[in-house]
Amino acid sequence: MSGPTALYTNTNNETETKEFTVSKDVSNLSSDGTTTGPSPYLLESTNGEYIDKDKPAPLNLGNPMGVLRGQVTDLQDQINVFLTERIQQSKNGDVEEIDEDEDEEEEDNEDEE
Amino acid sequence: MSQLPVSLSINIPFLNNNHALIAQKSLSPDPMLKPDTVNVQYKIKNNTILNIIVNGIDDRVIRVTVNNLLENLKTIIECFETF
Repeated sequence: MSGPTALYTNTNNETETKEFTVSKDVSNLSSDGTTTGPSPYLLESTNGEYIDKDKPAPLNLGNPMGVLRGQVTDLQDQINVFLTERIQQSKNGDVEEIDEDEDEEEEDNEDEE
Repeated sequence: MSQLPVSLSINIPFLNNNHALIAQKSLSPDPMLKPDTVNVQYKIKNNTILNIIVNGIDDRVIRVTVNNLLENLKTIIECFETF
């Protein structure tokens, strides 16, 4: 059974596409997504004592459905990160300018290190 | 510019047609609150692959819809895993 995939398409101005795939290595899969669960604000405001009652059960990697759930979590994280970046970039205006600024900042940080 | 210019097509491969059908029938009744800004289509390809196509007015709408949809899908897969 191959893993889940996704294809993003935006035809707003020029056609933009982005493909999402998951790694075949199942050992790094987790049911705890990096972009899901309680927000950092919620954890901070309760001094880390917040109990997540909706926390997903740990994966059973011996079961194909456990693997699929981990792969869907991975795909969900990739899509969320990609779309969040795009939303933030469009909020700040020109997408290309922001990319250049971020690259410059990264280079500056590397230089400082 | 089309009316809903942003789309995300997701393919979820299941073990068999029965699982794909159950997932489709579990997700599809969920109504879209603003059908003029987002719509979702479910299809089954090659007997076992659930294909979900989300069309939306912008990235924000797509992100919210797809995140919610994948959360529901994970619950369905967890049921297959458990039972």
